[in-house]
Order: sequence, then C-alpha cells, then structure tokens
Amino acid sequence: MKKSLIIIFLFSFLFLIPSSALKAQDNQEFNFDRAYQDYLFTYNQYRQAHNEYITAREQYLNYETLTAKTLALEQTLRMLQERDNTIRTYLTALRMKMAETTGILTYKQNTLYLQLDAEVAWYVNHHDSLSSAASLEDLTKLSKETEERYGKTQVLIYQGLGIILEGKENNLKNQINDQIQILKEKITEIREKGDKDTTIAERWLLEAENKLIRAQEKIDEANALLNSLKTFDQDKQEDYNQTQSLFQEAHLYLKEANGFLKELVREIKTADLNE
Amino acid sequence: MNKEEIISQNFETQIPIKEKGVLLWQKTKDKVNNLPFKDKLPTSKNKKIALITGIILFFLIIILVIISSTYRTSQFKPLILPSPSPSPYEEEIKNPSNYATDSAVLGVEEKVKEINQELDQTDLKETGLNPPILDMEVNFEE
Repeated sequence: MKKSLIIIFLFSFLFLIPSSALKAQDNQEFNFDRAYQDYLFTYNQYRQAHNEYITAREQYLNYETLTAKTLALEQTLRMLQERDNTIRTYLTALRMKMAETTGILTYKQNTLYLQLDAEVAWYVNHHDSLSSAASLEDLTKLSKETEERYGKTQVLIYQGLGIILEGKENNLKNQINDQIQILKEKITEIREKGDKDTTIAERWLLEAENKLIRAQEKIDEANALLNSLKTFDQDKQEDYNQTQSLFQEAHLYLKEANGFLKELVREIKTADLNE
Repeated sequence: MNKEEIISQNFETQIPIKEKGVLLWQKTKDKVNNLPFKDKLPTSKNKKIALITGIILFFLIIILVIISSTYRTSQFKPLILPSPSPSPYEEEIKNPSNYATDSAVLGVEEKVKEINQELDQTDLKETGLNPPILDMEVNFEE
C-alpha cells in the first residue's frame, strides 16, 4: 500500500512540474525584451540558413545534378522562410519598443501600428505560400515578391525608429516645459509680491523657452525628412542617419534649456545684492 | 763539510720551476695514457655531443628563467587608483532669498537634476534595433 502511494506521488510530481513550468512560461509577459530575443534568435537562424543556401547554390551551379537541385530547393526554401520570419519578428520587436516608449504622439503611434500589423500579416502569408513552391523558379519568383515588398517595409522601419527617437525627445521636452511653467508662475508670484527683482530670472526663463523652440524645430526637421522617405529610395539608411543627427541636435538644445533652468532656480534662491 | 759545499749541494738537487711544470705535465700524460679506461674518455665526437647538450641546456635554462619572470610579472597586480571624477560640488548660496526653502522651487530643483540625468542616459542611436541585413537577390544564374 505504502509503495503504491509513493509511486503515485512520484508520478504526479513528475507530471505536475513540467505542466506548471509550461504554464509559467505561457503567463510570462510578452514585452519588448522577449520580442527582441525572439528576433535575435530568428535572425541567427536566418544567417545559418543563408550560409547553407549559398553552399547548396554553388553545388547546384557547379554540378547541376538532380541531387544538387533537390538540396538547393530545400535550402532556398528554408532560407526564404527564415528571411520572412526575421522581418516579421523584427517588426514585432519594433512595435513593442514603440509601445514601451513614452512621449510618442498617440495618433502617430496608432497609424504606424496599423501599418506594421498589415506588414506582419503580409510576411506571415508570404511565409505560408513559400511551402507550395515546387521548383527553384517558383522560389525565385516568391523571393522577388519579398524584395519588392521590403522597400515599403524599410520605410516603415525607419519611420518607426524615428518615432521612437521623437518620443524620447518629446518626453524630455515635456518634462522641461512643465518645470518652465511652474517657474513662470513662481516668478509672477515673486514679482507681484515685490520680494525680489525678477529681471534676471525672467531672462533665464526666456532663454530656456527659446532653447525648447529650437529643439522643436530640429524635431520637426527630422520628422519632415522621415515623412519624405519613399519605397524606391536607394539611400533610406542615409536619410535615417541624417534624422538621427537632427534628433541629437535637438537633444543638445534640451540640455541647454535644462541648464538654464538650473541657473534660474539658483537665481530665485539667491537674495538681491541690496537686500 | 764546509759552508760553501753545503750551499752548492743544495743548488744541485733543486729543479727549475719551468722544468718542474714540464715534468708534471709529462707525468700526468703518461698516467692518462696508461689508464685502464682510456677508451672511455671523451673523444672529439663525444665532445661535440656534450657541447650541443650543453648549449641546449643553456637555452632551456634561459627559457625557464624568462617564463618564470613573465609569470611573476603577470601575478603582480599594479595598484589601480580610482580615476578622478568630477565632484558633485555645487557652490553654496551665501545670501539665500526668501524662496531658498520654497517647496515649489526645491521641487523644480530636484526635478531639473532628474531630467539632467535622463538627458545624459538617453540613447539616441538604438544600435540594437538597426534593421537586419538580408540577402534579397535570390537567383540561380551564374
């Protein structure tokens, strides 16, 4: 009796542990980190498949045997599937990054979400259609479809990356602006009470506001460049690098604005010389 | 025997130092030649082998010395002094105003510090999210 009880206990233990572990895995939150890990894993799979495809292609072109052709067909199919998977997981990671970045304008976020979702759906369908290919010619044709589509995808990718940077800058700019508003009210209060000369403080405030305006100008410039990206542009990467530089310039203005606020606080905290 | 005779006798028995050396060399040479294990003594071939072994041993010792010295130096850890970093020193306000302790002003001061930190830590490159490099040209033509 005791023995059978122990056996039952051991068996239930063996079966319960994996099921609870699986449940825990399922419940794990799907966030940017997880999406990014998925992407890195898939990208690695693609690189391996691509190397194998290159070898199989060389063999087929050199020997043109039936075996080499069959192998080339298999490896090309696998590589194309992994390529679609890589784009799909990358877009998902980008979407998750956008979701976790504060400061992105809601209408922009929603518009890009819709576009990204449509793009992901296209790659999922395309991935499925690959398995129906019966020849190397079919695979070449299907690969051409991805090549044509990827131009549009790249525009979305760079716009998404740009929106993330814009969100970061907007967030910082809003925080600085909030402090400017608080200090503005405080300076008005001081001026009305006549406790202290506010001329210098008001000048610092104006300087800080000017820096925020300059930062916004740079952000707008970057956005205009991102919006001008076209599917068949050859230098999309270059344009994106330029927008990155513009966001960096905006960032410097924000730093200066924050530095002025620091000086402003110091000025308010210091008594006038004639006091 | 008178004194002069004794002196002359003494001179006769003494052998000059130069001749003494020659004699000694001759004697040892004879002894060596008559040795029973004469054949086992180093020949010119043996000498060469001994010389090569000696050179090898010499180089081995040098290599061992070099290895031991480098091992010692790698074990020696130089004292790493912390690199100087800018101190967060802020000039003290000598004549504070009525607003030096104002809660709103202090709140802004704290927030400005936080924003400054955030500004320094913001990543505007996002290199990890660079698009994947993919081969789009799939064809089977040479």
